[in-house]
Amino acid sequence: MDRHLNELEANEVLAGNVSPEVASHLAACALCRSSRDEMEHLLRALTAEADHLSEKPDAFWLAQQRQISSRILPPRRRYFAPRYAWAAVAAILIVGIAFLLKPGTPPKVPAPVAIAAENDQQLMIDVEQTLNSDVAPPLEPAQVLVQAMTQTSSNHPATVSKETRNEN
Amino acid sequence: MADALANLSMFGKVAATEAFSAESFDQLVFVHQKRIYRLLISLLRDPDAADTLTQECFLKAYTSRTSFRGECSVETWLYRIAVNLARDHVRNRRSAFWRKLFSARKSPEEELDDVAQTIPDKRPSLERSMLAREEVALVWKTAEHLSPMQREVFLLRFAQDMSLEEIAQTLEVQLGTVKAHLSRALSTVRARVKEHRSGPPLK
Repeated sequence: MDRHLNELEANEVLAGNVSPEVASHLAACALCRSSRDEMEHLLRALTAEADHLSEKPDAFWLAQQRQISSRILPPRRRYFAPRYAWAAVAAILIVGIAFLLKPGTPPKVPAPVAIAAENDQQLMIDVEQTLNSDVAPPLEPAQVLVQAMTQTSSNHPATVSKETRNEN
Repeated sequence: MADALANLSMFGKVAATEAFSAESFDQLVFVHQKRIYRLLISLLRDPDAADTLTQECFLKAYTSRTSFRGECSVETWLYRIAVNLARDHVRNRRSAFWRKLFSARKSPEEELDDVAQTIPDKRPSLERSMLAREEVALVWKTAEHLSPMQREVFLLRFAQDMSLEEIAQTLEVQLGTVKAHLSRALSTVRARVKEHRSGPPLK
């Protein structure tokens, strides 16, 4: 190449695409090499400045991570959502009712032996009364009535004779 | 977990499902957040916006994780999201962007001195350093005046130090398109620098 690099060739060099012909020219031409070096340094300064601007303390990155995490993670579930509140109220009511219905001191139940003894004694009394009586227990009212009538007639005999006459 | 992320960095769709769970997404953020932030600050030159958009980038990645098909690496996929967010940001808040561009700019002096050494000038070192600082500022400013595609290609190549193939994948364009845009961008920048060196210093 017997000429200096044109604009396109110089751009290609800066972009990193160097053909063998251009490379040999750069090796031989101080002017083109100097021009390339100037621009390369200038462009490298952009990289260095981007590095400088993005240098941050660890606290910065940590805070950024936390910010992102806090916005990514889903909100915590509300364990006391209304539907669960209803369930809680129902449970409390059930427990309360169960507590109120809880049986207190159980009533005293007489000893079975004592009950049997009382029953036997009463039964014996009834049997004895039945045996001693002249009539069966179902006829006791009739017996009482007869006794009363007998007593009345013995106290008023005239009344009885008059009634006898009337009958005749 | 580390294996999942390693696979994810390649082309693992199956691994993507695992790595995009809420718990392991923290690890994904840890691995990629610095490069995403660097990309955004290169494109925007605004630390606050870069921080905000880095977070937005990961949120968007998480919410649209089901659309990730594993056709590219997760890093490239994250770059795409970040570039799109940066485009929207520039489009929507252009005036604020420019204000911050000129107020928040800081360059490491060592690098500027290094640049200054290459400038063929016989002026004293301090003056050359100032000139180098001006030229770096000029390059940034010129980049901001490029078309969106030229600017992105130019900054991804020289500020983010990405290869042309990576740029093509990130911007979802052909490699030839990247080369063409980069060449035009370089022509513009070289012309501006040449013009600056031959004219009065930038104020």
